[in-house]
Amino acid sequence: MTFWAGTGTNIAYAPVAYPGYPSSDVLRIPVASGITAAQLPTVQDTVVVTLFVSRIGIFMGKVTNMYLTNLVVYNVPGMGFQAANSTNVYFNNIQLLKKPGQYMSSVSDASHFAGCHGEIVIEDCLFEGNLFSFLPETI
Amino acid sequence: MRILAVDTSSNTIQTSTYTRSSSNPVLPDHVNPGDLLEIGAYATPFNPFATVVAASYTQGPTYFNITLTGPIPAGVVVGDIAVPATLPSAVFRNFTVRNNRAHGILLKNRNVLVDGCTFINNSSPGIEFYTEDNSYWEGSTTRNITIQNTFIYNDAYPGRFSVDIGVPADVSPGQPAGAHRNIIFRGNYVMSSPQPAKSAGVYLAQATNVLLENNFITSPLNYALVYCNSQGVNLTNNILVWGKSEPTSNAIGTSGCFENGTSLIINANLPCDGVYAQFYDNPGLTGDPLFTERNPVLNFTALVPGGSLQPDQPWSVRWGTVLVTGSENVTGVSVYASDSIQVYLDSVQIITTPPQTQSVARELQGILVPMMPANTSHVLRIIYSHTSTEPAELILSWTLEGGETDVIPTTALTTPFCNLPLVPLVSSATSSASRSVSLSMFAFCNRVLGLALGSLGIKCR
Repeated sequence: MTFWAGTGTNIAYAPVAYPGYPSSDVLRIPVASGITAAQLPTVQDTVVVTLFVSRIGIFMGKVTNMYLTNLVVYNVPGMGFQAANSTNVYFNNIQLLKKPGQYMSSVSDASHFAGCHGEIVIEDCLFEGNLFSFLPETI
Repeated sequence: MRILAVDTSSNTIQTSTYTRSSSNPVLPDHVNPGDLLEIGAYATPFNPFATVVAASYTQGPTYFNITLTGPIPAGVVVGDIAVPATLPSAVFRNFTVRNNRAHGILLKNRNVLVDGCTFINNSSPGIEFYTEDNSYWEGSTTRNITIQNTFIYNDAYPGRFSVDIGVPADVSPGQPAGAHRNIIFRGNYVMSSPQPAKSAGVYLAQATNVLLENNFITSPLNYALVYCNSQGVNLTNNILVWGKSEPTSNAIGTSGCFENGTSLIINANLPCDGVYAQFYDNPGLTGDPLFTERNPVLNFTALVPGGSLQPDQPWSVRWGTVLVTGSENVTGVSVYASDSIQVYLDSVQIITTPPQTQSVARELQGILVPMMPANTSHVLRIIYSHTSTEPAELILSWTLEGGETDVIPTTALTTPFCNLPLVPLVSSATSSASRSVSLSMFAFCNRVLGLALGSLGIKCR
């Protein structure tokens, strides 16, 4: 588990060890060693606790000529989209959004392309409020 | 991947994914027959000395045995780094990423076009081309990158850059040029965060053969542009505005910066008031702009573009600027237009019309939900396509909360921070190369910006 706190001018990150529940309405989150005071949130900051549970909005594994069009995805508890070992992936008019009242649209990579070939084409798309980036990459 | 063993008798190398200074099993599982692998020495992994082709592979619990199509090149030894070089190309068009706690896009591949995109209010760089040898070792070096006509606004947390192309300076400051090659960066707006000690503009490191032209790059409190350990960097017709001579992070301005920096060419600059216009000699914004200019306001009753356009020739234009509201809230934006038009405000399309071949002037309203508050800045982009033989009409107006509708004045179309005092870019490096670059930037400030922007009240110091 990790948490992220954004104050507008500072983004803090810390791994969390052993959260505790001293009472029914209090969540105590001790942070790992090495975190400085400047990295810690202050009163009235928003703290987003994230679990990397690998729930992917749409997963594409070993596919060829994959077309995603006219799609809106909200609030994914993991990566928004992942394409792995795939060839030729096309996004057209795809949106990854957060609904009102939610802080994040995804709590991991907005999208992640790993080990892909051919071409990746992203046109007329909108992504917002993701915990991590849009990554067309290879490893 | 790190090479664990070399068997010249079978032309086979044994590799394992390498992250955080240790070999990790299983990843990746996509070394396909025919894939190219680039091999570099462990100390300089981003400048490969050999390229090989995978013929087949077998996968063990913690390694891959990759048999090559030919003999193992001379010099390949255990400990070298093998990187996949058969990578997907990528095209991004009209792609918006906003309000991410992360990058806009983080790219680790080759043959990439980013065209007409918007990256706004992201906490990490709007665009980052990334490869590193510290944590994940998962980024291949990049080739053939074009970033054009793109807005990158208010991105990156303190000490980082809005556009970051390089090997992170805090990871591998000593890596030579050549990790990233053949980069074109043109027609872009890069506006760093106005918050104190926030990000800087463009960071370019370990790059070779770079062209930056017709960009507006500004950072109110930090560098507009830093390049480190790069070669063949050509700056043409850019506006660079920056407000601070010393870096706020050890990721920039380190002793590794500017060494080997050569071929800095600065030819001219453009004024930064009004609306930046790129005119094309076709109705679809295809190819390179025919010419660019600044329009103080968009208030044309008979617009006939200049350049070499013929009177009856179709044309299109992309306008872009930052719209700064005054002391009143703004409730709506409208255009009076005779041709097809699309208006984007903060990357949201608020006005659009279908393509048309007849000139029909009409008023188009874009209602803002929510309204634009007073004294705020917003990215405004307009795409206009003219196909008729009549002169074009276009009037851009806004409606204030009190109900008054006016043509948006020039004072609201002035890019923020243009009136900041300019200072030369100073490196903390002490090498002669460093000093020569600093002098070049100082000369640029005095000779070019000082002359051209003097009338705007912008001074070099």
